[in-house]
Amino acid sequence: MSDNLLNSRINEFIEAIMKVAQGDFTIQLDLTGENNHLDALAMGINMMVDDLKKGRDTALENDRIKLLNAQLVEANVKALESDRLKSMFLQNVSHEIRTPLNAIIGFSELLPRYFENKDKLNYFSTIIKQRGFDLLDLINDILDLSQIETGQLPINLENFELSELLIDLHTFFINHRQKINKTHIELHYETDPCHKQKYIHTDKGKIKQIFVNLIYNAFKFTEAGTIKFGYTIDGKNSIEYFVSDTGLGIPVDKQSVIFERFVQLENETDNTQHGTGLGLSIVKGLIELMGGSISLQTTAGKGSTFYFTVPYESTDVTGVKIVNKGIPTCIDWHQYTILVVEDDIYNAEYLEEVLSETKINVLKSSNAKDAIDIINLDLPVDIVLMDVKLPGINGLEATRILKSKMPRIRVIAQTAYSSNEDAKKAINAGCDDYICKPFNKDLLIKKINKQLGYL
Amino acid sequence: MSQSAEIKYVSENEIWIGSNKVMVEGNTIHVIAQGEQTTEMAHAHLKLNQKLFSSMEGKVNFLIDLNKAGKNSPEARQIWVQHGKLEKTSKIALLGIHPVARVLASFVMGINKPNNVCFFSSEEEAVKWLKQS
Repeated sequence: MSDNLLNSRINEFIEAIMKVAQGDFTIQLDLTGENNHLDALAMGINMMVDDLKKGRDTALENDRIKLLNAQLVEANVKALESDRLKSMFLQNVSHEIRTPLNAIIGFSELLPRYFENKDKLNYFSTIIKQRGFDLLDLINDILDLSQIETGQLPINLENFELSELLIDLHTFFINHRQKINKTHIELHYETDPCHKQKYIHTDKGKIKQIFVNLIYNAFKFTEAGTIKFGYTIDGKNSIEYFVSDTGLGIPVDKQSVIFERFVQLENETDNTQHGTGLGLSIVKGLIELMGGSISLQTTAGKGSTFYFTVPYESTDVTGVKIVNKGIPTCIDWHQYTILVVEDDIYNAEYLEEVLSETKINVLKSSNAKDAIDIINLDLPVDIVLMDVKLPGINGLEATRILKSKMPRIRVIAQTAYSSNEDAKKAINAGCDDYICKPFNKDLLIKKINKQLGYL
Repeated sequence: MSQSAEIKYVSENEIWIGSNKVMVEGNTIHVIAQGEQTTEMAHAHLKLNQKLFSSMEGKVNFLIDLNKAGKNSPEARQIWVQHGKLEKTSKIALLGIHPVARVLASFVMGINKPNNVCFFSSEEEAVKWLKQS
């Protein structure tokens, strides 16, 4: 072999080795077929390149498996954590249900003993009522979270005045501050002076619910100083709302988990207030449902500020103002007859008691079949208070039957099914109105009054 | 183009796997390897050898002629090393008279050169080693 040929062959080898050094493992040298030393060298290089490629592929595969393993470990940890949190949640919910129930049952037992003492009776009944509402709040929180998680919570857009909402919140929390003996904490609300538009178009109820949750938390974790809430205009179609406090702040290790379900921070100085650990999850869920986001600035020991943005539209149009006609102070419905369809004897008794103050004639039925029979008897029924979940024929089906026989009769559905969807179902079945249990006596009277007005 | 790994029986003692010729000579399986040795071919050899073992008495030797063999894939080399670890295998003699075959044999034997695998540059020496007890 000439020197030139030899040099050229060796140059080929050098080029190949340089490419391999740069990570090109596809290089393969040609063999002349002479089976000489240069062919042996080429064969050796080729097989070494194959080995390097295999080593690299194996290393990549190992990395992939390591990553998968790490993901599996992480998923496993999350699953265990989720299980743990669910168990904790159940314990918490059980605790939160039992605590007000203890007061409700306890004070109810005491009532007969203080029958002659009106002050005590009033005090006990106030506690029983308040603890009942606490229970209701808990159930509503759980339902809200469940609806958020299953995507069943509808967005109800409306036009409203933002500053009016802040004033309402301020008034509400001034009362709350008094109730929890924290009147030394200053409470302020701030509006953006640059915001000229009076009305905005977004879901007022949810904005309010978010503020309420955040301000409640602020009071819970603040012992002194100031709580502020309000908004600034952040860009063309977004408002940045905020709630700040000078409270305990949130430790660094808790900041990433506070929005997760069932997570609660401890306030060692305040054992008077409890929670289900759902408030911030609901807040985050509501904000994300509306296409917004939430962030947090906090310094342990100095306080926290929650910022949240929610898309909105400016509008000059006012919302529909509901004119509260109020309830007549002295009701006399003796000329009317109401049919109460309720299978729970205690609820039926409660309704009869409430209605007795109005002098309305009350007919009672514990199931839909009897209710239909009463209508078939041509008794002069003007209005029906219809439970939905009934043995046999349900309340909605019964309403369809009643309305087909006597379209004149007004029907108000009264049910513990509480979602907007349930309300729609009732209206679609022919009910003229809907009231959710547990209901307030005044609201019930107001709704009946409205329906009697149509007769 | 990769080599075929099809097993073809010419007679009881002569079988082909792709371009590799396999001959059964007493208790020795004599392989003349030709061209690139793919993973599929190595698998086919393992399968064939296990079948041949059942009709061969006692331990079996291998004489593998690498003079016309091409590159061995890393996986094929691992499979050939497995041959040496089989219960029925006694010795494996790798045969090659030129430097390319020597390089191929070195790669087949690998870094953990097994005691029962050896390279020879003459068939006579290889056969003599195989016959030693």
